[in-house]
Amino acid sequence: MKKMMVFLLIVTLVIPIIGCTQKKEEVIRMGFVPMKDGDKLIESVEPLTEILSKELGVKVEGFTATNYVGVVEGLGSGQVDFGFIPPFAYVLANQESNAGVILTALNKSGEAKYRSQFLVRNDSGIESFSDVKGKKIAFVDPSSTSGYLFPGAHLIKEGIDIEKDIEYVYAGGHDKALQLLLNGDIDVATTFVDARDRYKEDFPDAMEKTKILGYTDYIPNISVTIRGDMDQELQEKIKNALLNLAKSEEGLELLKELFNMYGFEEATDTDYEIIRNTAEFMNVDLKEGN
Amino acid sequence: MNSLKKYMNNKRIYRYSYLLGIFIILIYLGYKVDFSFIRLYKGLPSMMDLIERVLKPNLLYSKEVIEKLIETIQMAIIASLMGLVLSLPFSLFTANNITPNKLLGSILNGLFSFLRTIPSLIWAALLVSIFSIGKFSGIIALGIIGFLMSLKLFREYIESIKENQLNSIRAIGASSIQVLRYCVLPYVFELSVSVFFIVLETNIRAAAILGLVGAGGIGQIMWKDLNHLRYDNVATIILILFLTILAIDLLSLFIRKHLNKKNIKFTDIKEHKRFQICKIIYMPMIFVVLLYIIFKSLDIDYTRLVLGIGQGMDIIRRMVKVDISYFPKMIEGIRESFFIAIFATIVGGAFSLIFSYLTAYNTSPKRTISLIFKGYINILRTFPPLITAIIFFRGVGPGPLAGAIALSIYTTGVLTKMYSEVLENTQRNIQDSIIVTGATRFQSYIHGLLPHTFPSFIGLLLYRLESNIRNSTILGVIGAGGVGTALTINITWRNWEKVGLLLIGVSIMIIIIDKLSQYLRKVFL
Repeated sequence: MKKMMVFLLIVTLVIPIIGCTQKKEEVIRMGFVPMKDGDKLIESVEPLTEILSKELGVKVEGFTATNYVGVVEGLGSGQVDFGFIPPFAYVLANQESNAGVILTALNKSGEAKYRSQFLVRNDSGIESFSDVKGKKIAFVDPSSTSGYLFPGAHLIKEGIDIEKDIEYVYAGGHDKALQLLLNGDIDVATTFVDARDRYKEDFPDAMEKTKILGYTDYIPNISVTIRGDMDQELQEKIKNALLNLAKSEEGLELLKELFNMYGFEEATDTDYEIIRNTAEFMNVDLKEGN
Repeated sequence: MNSLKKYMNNKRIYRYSYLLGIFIILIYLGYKVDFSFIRLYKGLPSMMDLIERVLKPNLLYSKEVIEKLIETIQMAIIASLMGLVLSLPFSLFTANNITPNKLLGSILNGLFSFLRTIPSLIWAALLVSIFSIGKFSGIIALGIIGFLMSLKLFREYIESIKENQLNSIRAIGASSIQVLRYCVLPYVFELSVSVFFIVLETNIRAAAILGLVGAGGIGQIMWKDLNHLRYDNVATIILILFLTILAIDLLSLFIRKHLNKKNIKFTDIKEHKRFQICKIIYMPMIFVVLLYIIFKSLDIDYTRLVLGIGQGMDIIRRMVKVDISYFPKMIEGIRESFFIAIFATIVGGAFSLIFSYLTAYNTSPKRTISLIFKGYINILRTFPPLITAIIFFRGVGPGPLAGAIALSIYTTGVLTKMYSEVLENTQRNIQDSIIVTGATRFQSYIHGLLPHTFPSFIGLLLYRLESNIRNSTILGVIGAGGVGTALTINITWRNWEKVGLLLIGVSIMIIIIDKLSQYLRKVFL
């Protein structure tokens, strides 16, 4: 008994010490999901975090997640301080842990919005959305804005019940959706505009073999989201650091290479209202969370 | 007098330093998996919030869940059957005592033990890349696991047939086929039902999470709800899963228990002959029908299969050309998985020593406490650690800590169940001889039962370590740390050269740990 007590005593005394010693070093963690551009898989964001560390005066570390929910939960639990997440993930993070958006990324043509497309094979005989009924569709991922939320809402607006009228799968990536389509596993793929161009090295015949059935509404670009309990000062600092980063030649190059971003623009929560409305429309009950 | 005191003193010092040693290791590991009470404490509110939401399951959702659940059970059953049927002929080739060619046998054994180290979730993720998303990939992945598992079980059973039994049949002039027909096969068929249920128990747990990588079943809707942070729906799924797994475990236990007792009684020799003839006619028929059901449910057309196999060959060809430049990343991931597994084993071991005292009915202070704990540990051990990790995700955020805690809980559950059974089966007089000196039940546990059964505890602990090493490699699939993260990312992005290296690394680590644990078991027991 005595031994047990001593044992428990040591446990309770020592482990908090480890806990404390770890907290000493202050770091800012940047959450992201690795992306692939062509043949290169980006797992290391070190060059980018180094520049940001210099800019902020605090050490910045990359936090690799396997999918966006990892970043959202990271923001909620304080494991991640800011992250690059798609609009739908932002809305979830915002309602779960009051995370805030500070910036939105710009795409190649300098716009802060994009949209997604429905692709079909040329020989599939699908000419309009009414032909889609009874077919097999690939969404990208349930947490994807351009690969699930908006295309799904679009289909519902076209009078298709996605639970009953069609069969759907989650491909796990825009390139994978495209691949499934080319392999003949599915009849319709949903991707951003234009995934065929982005992945032309992997699928050189995609342009000839497929055609666009339609487009969705415009979607706000990927967001820079900060955790909910961050003070105003640090928010401003991170925002400015990222804006400065995008201004420097080296930084912009890295952003392009790592995340396919071409700059930043300030953003507020109201820009993402459309996501909330669409989510509601898609019957993704956001209110349940609170 | 003095020497006894000295002896006691030495022993005490020895024991304390032993504990201290384990403790230092634990602290080191705790540091490695980012353990922190502060984070755990800070995470408590959000975990409580999650549990609160989990306690309000969305029962309206259950219709959709049940539909997927049926698919999941189907997948597990078909895959287990497929694995079982396929493993029968292979077991004859690999069993040491009856294999026609010893060299072939050992080559096959080596290959299969390498394949056995790859977890089902990774199989599924690989197959999804080949045969596209859906339950076909899931069935094949589970089929492979079922095949490898039942092969191992059959092989061990066949190898346990005594040599003189085989010789007695050989002595009357039986050819090797006749030996098979009259000595080995009857034995194997008798066992096949029991093996089927053992495999099914494993597969149903695996099937529940395969959907996370898109391989069909209930995991697929769970993935969606996790992504939408709909924890009330996730709760519904977990609740239903829990009941199902429990039901199948109980069913399996019941059938396996009663199977051996049942025997058909024949009144005369004619009846027996008729039965034999029926058996010869019906057994192949049942076999064919089973095969038909399996193939029918696979639901894939020939051209797609060929395309898939072609792509699969491509992938294997690329995997063999391992990307050595990825080596540091691999070591980093494997080290993290290893730390998670060791941490979980030690923490689970420590807790299960305490829990076993409360659970085993011969040591537990009260019968009711024993019953409550029996129920409790059954809940702990039913969930795949991957699902528990999701709950800790919420509190401590993604990373190794969530995985380490989840795995610790699972280890505690399984180890407590196994060790409390060991305690219950210990001879009563060991405990009595200590109680008779006026000791309490707790003292009888600490000074009598625990030292007496400690070697078996270490044995069980080492088995858990082997299983934990396997489990920790897949935690990364959902982002709970370890080599699984690198594995998933590279499978998703089709970097097969890196996947090849990671798989070999994981295999080598698992095989080393297995061998080490075997060696330690030999030393301790």
